[in-house]
Amino acid sequence: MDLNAKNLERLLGKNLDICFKNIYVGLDRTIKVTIVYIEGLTEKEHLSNFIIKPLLEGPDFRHAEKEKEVITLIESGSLYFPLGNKLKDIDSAVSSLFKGNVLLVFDEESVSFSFEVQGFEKRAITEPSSENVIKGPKDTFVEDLMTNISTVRRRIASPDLIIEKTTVGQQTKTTVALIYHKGIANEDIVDDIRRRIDSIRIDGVFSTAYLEEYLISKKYSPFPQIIFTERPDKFSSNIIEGRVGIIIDGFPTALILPATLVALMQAPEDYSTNFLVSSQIRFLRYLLIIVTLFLPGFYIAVTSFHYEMLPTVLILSVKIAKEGVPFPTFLETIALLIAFEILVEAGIRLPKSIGQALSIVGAVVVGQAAAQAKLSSPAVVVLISVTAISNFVLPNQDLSNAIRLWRLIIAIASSIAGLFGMCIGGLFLLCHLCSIENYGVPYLSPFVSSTNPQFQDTFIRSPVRLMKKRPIDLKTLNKKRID
Amino acid sequence: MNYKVYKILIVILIFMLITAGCSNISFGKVEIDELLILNAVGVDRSNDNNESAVAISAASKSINATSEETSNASAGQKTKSALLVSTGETVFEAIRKLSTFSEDRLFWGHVDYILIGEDAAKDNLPQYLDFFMRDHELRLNSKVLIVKDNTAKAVFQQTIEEENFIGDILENLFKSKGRMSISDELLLVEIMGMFDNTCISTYIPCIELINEPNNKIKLSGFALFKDTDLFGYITDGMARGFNWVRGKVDSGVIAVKDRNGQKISLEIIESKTKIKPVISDGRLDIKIKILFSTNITGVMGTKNIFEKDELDFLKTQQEEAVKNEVKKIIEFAQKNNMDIFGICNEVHHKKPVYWKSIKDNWSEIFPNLNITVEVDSNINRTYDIKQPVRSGYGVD
Repeated sequence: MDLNAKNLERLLGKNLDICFKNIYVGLDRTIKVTIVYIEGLTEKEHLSNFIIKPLLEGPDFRHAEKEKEVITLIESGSLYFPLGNKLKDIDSAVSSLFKGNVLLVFDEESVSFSFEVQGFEKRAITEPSSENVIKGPKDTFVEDLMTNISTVRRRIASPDLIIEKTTVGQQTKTTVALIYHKGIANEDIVDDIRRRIDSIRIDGVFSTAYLEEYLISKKYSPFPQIIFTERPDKFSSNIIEGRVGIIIDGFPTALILPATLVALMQAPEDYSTNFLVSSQIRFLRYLLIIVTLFLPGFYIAVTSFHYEMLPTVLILSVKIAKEGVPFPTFLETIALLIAFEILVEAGIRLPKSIGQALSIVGAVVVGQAAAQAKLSSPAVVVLISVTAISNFVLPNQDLSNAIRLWRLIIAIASSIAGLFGMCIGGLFLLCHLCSIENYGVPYLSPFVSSTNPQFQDTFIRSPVRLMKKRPIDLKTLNKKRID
Repeated sequence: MNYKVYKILIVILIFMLITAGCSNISFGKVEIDELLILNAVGVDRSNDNNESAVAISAASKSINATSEETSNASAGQKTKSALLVSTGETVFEAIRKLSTFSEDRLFWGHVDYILIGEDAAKDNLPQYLDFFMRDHELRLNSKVLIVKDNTAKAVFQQTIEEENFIGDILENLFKSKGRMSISDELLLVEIMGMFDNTCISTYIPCIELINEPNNKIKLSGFALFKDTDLFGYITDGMARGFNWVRGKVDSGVIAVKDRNGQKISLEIIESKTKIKPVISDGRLDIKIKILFSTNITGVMGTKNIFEKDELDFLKTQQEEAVKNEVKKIIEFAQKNNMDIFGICNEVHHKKPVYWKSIKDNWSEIFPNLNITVEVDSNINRTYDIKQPVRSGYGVD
């Protein structure tokens, strides 16, 4: 199809929001220019002031006799607007239109110009909702891609910061920006990610998970293999560390990959407090991940197989707590674990105003009433609370979901074979974690590094001046952080 | 499709195993509230007509949670203990018989104290302890005690009457064992090791029931064994003398008199003992060197003692006192040919070549060994109060 107003109208004319407007310019107002734009996506004031007004009143255009002359004039910058793209086929014209651009269509020459006169409603940059910090920047990503890119660009003022654009989604044509640092990020990783994004053939991107599943290698793992963040500072620091970032238009969360377990355990706050304090917190976090993973299983194992593992005084009080409860410990523990999952899930889905009621019901029913009615022993209630609270300490929600799943598996294993079962469950988990590898980076790196492991930013957070090298396993082009 | 069915079957099977609690399949699982957790066990030779019968008494502690109806100011957590008694031909038989009348499964993994009645101790003790070593549920680090002049069952019964728990009492007694240093706690594995060593005579700490002024359990020295049978007891001074040689004196009181005849009490604050075998002219001599230091904790008089020669006098006095204690026990041991100190081990470790030549006739060598005791001490700290009250106005 040729690119002209008639064809465009036939293609899009049924739509309520797409406007066609013909104006006549030139010497005797004989040259027809069709302006096409989408209502709501276009800043109309800009359109009339900087495009229509000069076309009609500009001294240059007044003498134009032919369409070609007008085109040349636009190309040479007679409009009061940064030069638009010159498009020659109808498909690119349409997709440009849907980005919110204004098209000037010239029928005879079958050419159109697109100007970025976007002006749609955007959400303002707000404080982060899930990754809060006390000290540190309080801005977040928003839904608009260009805003997001600009916040990143502002943070990394380097010519080597590359922001590549691709589109994903055969129907939605969602813009996806691939962001990396040319001098740092490993080229193979970047190429691999780019190739994978290009090979995605789906209808549309309505959630970041749509992309995620195409970008990870271990598809059947509950563990997050991509770091999601809503914080531009975290995003930028990861780019500088040598990772590759992806921002999808329309989503306030950015993707960072490849992820490692260690990276998922880092909270933004760690880097804004004293290194001793944050080391202590970091260490605690690793401890609590073990607690939340193994505590229910350990309790089941100890109270139904290995009574000799606990000190006498403790085992006696556990025994008294258990007296009169009709269910086996396993059932009790699993039931409360599931009850807790239900509470969490309900808490997320409920409107905020009813949330209060839920927490009261949860606390009273699960916590107190169940123990008082001897449906579960108070010891188990305490234990599940400890487990749940430990789980909340994890900085990454996806990771904590994965841990929740594995906790259940380990609890079941321990109820079959006690501590042996727990160990077997733990070994399975370890094997699983060891088997994950994305873009040549082991998930457990640097714990599984054979040479010169970098522990500066793992269990502890060492002072910045000691973290001299970027993570080795990212195979960055520039190895050193500090010269 | 088949694969999926298998997966579902596995899940169902797992849940069957864990929820049904079939003990044969799920590796002997018992819920914790169905257990009776035993904490102390007593072994006696039964005085029935059958001579070789064994009586076992086992005590379990249980805390009764406060029930709401009876809650008042005095009702806190109340300790209750249960007592089970049975007899049998062997230790194991008697123990198994306990299960015939206990509604809960007995769990032996938390047995901390094994009490041996005097009768059993006199009758080849290791045969009673063998089961406790061998069984997988019992621990090698449980503590063994001899009940002096009584049966273990009597001790259990008395504590039950007083609504106390034997395990708690013993634990508290052993916590303060160092205050007088006349006893010690010994583990089952250590005792069996001593029985196994033919050169050493075994010693086991003992308790006794005292009736005056009220019924109490008291730690009282050690029971000494010749070969495998109970030989006698050492208490008080002898027991501390024994602990001096063992190097296990933490603290204690030495009462001495100063030159004016005032009684002074000295508190031992640290001590160290070295046993050194010396060979001179082909003859084995043993040197025991004891170092200790004391505080002055009480002066029963009005005269000032904080002068150098007074303190020196006290020092020689306390050294003399310790020397006497040690000499007494050494004399006793040599007279009865019982190497309770483990001197043979010292010789073995420090003079291994020489030991080879004498190890077979150690029992002949030990009674005639020349054991010299050297004591060195300090009076370290005298605190802020230096002079007794009214010392300035004394008659002098």
